Order: sequence, then structure tokens, then C-alpha cells
Amino acid sequence: MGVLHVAPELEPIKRVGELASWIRETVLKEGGGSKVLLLGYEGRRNMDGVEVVGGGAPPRIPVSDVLEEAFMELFTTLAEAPYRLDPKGVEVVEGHEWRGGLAAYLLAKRLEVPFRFSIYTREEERGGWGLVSEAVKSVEAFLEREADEVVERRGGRVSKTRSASWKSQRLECEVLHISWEYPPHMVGGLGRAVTSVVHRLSGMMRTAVLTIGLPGRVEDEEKGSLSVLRVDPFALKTTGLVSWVYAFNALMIAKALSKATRPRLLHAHDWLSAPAAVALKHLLRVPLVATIHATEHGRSRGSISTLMQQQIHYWEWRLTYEAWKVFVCSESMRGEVLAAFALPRDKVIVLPNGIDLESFDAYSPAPGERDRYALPWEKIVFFAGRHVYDKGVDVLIEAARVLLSRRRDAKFVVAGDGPMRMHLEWLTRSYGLVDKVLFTGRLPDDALYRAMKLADVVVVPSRYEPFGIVVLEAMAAAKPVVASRVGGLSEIVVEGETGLLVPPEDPVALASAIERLLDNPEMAKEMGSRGRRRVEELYRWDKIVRYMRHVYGRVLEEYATSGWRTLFDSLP
Amino acid sequence: MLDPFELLKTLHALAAVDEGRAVEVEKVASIVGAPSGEIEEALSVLRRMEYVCISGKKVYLTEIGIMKISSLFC
Repeated sequence: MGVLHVAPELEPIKRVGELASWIRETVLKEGGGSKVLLLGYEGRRNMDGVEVVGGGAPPRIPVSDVLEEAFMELFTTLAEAPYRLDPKGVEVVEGHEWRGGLAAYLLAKRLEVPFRFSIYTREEERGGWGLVSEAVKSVEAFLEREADEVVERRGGRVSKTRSASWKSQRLECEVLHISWEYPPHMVGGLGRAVTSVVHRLSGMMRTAVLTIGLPGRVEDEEKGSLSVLRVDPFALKTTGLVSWVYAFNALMIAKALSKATRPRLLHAHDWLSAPAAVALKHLLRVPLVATIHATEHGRSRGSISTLMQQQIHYWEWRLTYEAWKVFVCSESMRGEVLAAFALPRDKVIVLPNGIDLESFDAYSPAPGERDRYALPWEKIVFFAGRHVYDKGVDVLIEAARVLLSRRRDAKFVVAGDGPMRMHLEWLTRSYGLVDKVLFTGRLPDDALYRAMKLADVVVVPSRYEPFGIVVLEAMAAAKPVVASRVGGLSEIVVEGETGLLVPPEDPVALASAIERLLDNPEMAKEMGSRGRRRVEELYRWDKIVRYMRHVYGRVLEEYATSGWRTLFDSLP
Repeated sequence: MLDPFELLKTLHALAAVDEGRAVEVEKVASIVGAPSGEIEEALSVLRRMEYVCISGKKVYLTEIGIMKISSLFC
């Protein structure tokens, strides 16, 4: 029988412990027709008549623990296997221990053959402790559940077999978007942009989205020509935020392969979907385009130092390197991406985010809704965004203190949530502004749009902002904007025409600009009207998505003449 | 004093995201390596913020808590 063994170590080529000898024994017992895919190994050699192919050395990016290391090795193997491993004659893929099991599970799905999981020593027996141990146990349990056959190698026991159920109906789509944000998992602007794009695109072509769900909401969906494929991002325990992202990327690969998805094009959004996008690109030989919504380089002002930042930066670079074309949302982001990843200039295309005016206009504040936010004589200064350092919410609280020391007719309404929430509320209390600054928490889109329409001024005090979708929303609501002169904000806001720009981190300037608009309601109204017209002319999603589709067409034309081939091309 | 946010991240790593996957407070304390008094103090802050749900001796993240962790990445 043609068994492909996927091994984390193998005597005498790569030895970490006793496991290397046990795996060698198993492989040699299996006899002719077997081959080995050795994880983390660059070479290729013959071991007593058995062909050993390396899965490729993972990038030299420092990692925090063995789980992150295993996932880096996994993603490397998935991207390399189509160029190293001839799948002809493989009838079963056998994964040895959990590290080999993860890669074997996914390769079996691609090869559409059964997956056998071989266990030598369980984590439970090793007596491990802490998050790493909990995570390994959960990976083992997951693989046991998913395997067609589980073999306890040291006891020689087969603990489970099932009839192979690996073939599924093919999901047809022209483009597969891969995004960690999509309803119900909506975090920031990325999710809104992806949702609007795929809804528009699905009116033009068969579209699918590969994404994550939330507990109790992980079902797939079919909506006309749009398919939504969701994974449970908590199906595996992890050791921290980066390994969590790696884990759900592995699950996204499994989902796409189990649905036998064969898109003509992949479109990935940010580093959070990069490992899945890169693996699927090579496993399926499908061209990839990417949208970079923000970079770690930009967020950290060029200082990539922690292990997490290094891994994020690596995956951002890898995504842009692998992509045929890279979309960014502003000229400022184009400069940032070119500098951070040393990309050729013609690879990066500026395509702004848009707004769905029809949906936006459908929401109107209910009678009395304003009373929830402010007293009748108070003017509403509105902020919406995540409570993170980059958004400058702390600068806004400082500006509130400055402004409220001069006048008491302003009410600051702060919508959103995030890691800085507790600090911001403490700051507000310590300044004695509790009755003048209202933290609403996270508002759903309908409530957010209605609240924005009640505002007198919308403020965007960001320190870093690739685009600033909230400015478009404010302009759509015909509200004047006060924004920091950073990133995409200075491209969207026309100074003195649709709003006022102030230096970032300058609460005095911010307070003065807000006051100028509060004192001049006619000017504020006129700026709001001009903002609305600008949005209608330049930022409609249907125009933007039409151009995106045109770029897809160009990429597919180039791909057709590229001569790109892999050893997996004979697979369905 | 234990940073409540660290506790939130630990619950996230343990995939304690609904009642069925809730973890015992004692287990969280042993993983975090903090005295149970500090854990309980941090948990009461997180519960006030509606980031966690405590059910008997077990605890899990609410959807608001999950989204708070996700917001770190944007």
C-alpha cells in the first residue's frame, strides 16, 4: 500500500529523541511503496529503499514556544510539498505524533485519501503542564477525532477505524476571500470592508469567503452566489495570540480543502489570513492577491522588536511577496508597504475603502434617541473606534478636558471598546468628566450609524490610520470631521472643505478645532454637505469593486501565460 | 496584583469561550501561577466589564471578552 509518512523526526536523518527510531521502525515495517515527508528537513535521500523528502526548513523567525514552531513548520511544509512530493501512488497519509499529524491531516485532505494518525506517547503520559501541554493535548484529541484510523504504535493497537468520508461535493467559486473578520466576527474596519466587497462581488461572480465564527455561530452559509465557510477558531487550545491565529489558519486550510474548493483566484486580507492563503495558493496552484489594511511596521512606527511583532511582520512580508498584486487603501499606505516590504512599485495598487450609502441611509435616529447620549442643550462630539493607542482616544479625553474647562455645553460620546477602555475610564474619572464623557461600549452598526447622525462633530484623533473608514461614515452622515493629519485621514478629509485637520497628539489643537466647529454651526453644516457629496463621488463600493474585478482579470491573464506548475497538478 | 487582561488572554488560549468549554478557576490559577485571592479579584473586575461569565467554580469568556482580545490585532 502506498503510505506517505509525515514525520517530525527520523533516524538517522533528524533525531530529537527516541521517537526518531520508533518512526524509522514503523516506516521500514510498512515495506515497499512507502515514502516519508520529513518536516523541517531541506534535503532528499534514500533510507533503506524508502524515499525521504524534506518538507523544507521553516523561516528563521524566532518563536515563543513549541506550538508556534510546529505551526511554522506546518505552513512551510504545505507550501513546499507541491514542489517536492510526487503524490502518485499515495493511498494513505500517516501522521506520526501530533506534529506529523497536523501536516498529514491537511495533506490527506488535499490528496483526497484517508488520514491515519499514529501515536507513540501521549502528552498526558509525558506529564506536561501549562498552556503548551494543554494545547498539545487538544491537538492530539482533535486529530484523533478527525482521523480515519488511529494507531497506538507502541501498543500495536488500532483504536479506531472508520469508513473513509474524505470526498465531498466540490464548492464552485471564482474567487475565495480569506479574512479573519466577517460577520459575526467583526472587529474593525477590515471586516466592514471585506463584507461590503464580497457582497458587491457576489453580484458579479460566484464568490466565497473563508473566515472564522464565534461560539455557537460557526455554520456555513449560502446566500445566492455567495458562500460563507466558517471555522470554529476555538476548536484547538493554544498558547497565546499568535498560535491562536496559526491554529485557526490551519483549520481554514482544512475547511477549504474539505469543501474541495477550487477557486480561480484567492484574495487574502492582512497577515491574519496569510498562512492559510499562502498554503492554499501552492496546494491548489491558484494565483493570490492581497489587501494590506495596516502593517505592524506602521503600528509600531518602524520598531519591530517583540517575538509577536517579528512573526506578524514576517507574515505580512510573505503575503505581499506571494501575492500577484497588493491592494492598499491610501497613498500613505502605499508608501508604507513599499518601504516595509521592499516591493516592486507596480505590484501595489491604491484602492480606497468605500461605503455602502444605501445601507447607511436606511438608518435614522428614533424619536428621543438623542436623550440616551446627551442633554438637549449639549452638543455631541462623537468618536467611534477601537480603544487602542493608535486611535488616540486618550488624546481625545485630554482635548475634552481642555475644551470643557472653557465651556460646558459639549458632550463627548465615545463608542467602541478595546484594551485601553479601563485606562480611559479611569482618566475620565480622575479629570472629573464622568458626566461629560459617555463610553457607550461597542455599538452594532445600526446603532452606530444612528448615533453618528446625532453628532454635531465627528472626531478621529488617530496616531496611526491607514485609511479611516469612520471618516467616510461621518461624511456620509453629512457631519463635519476633525481628524489628525496622519495616513489616509489627510487624503480623505479636505482641509477647510469637509473638515479640519490637526497635528496628531495635540489635544490643545484638537480642542480648538472642535470648538471652531461648535461655534460655527453654519460652517459645520456646509462642511458636512460637501463631505457627503465627496463620498457620493469617490467612495461608492460599486465603483471600487468594479475596479477590483478588473485587476482580478489582469492577474488571471498573467497567470494563464506564467508556466507555473507543481507536482500536485495531476490531482483533481 | 494580577493584570486582569492577562487572565483574559489565558482563558482565550484555553478556548474557554462558552459554558460547555468553561474551565475551573482553580486550573486557571495554577496556569497563571497567582494566588486564588488575586485571581478572584481580577475575575470580579472582568465580570463587571462583562468580559467573563462565572458559573459555579468555572469561568468562560463572553462574546464581548472574545472581541476585546481580537481588538488587539487591529
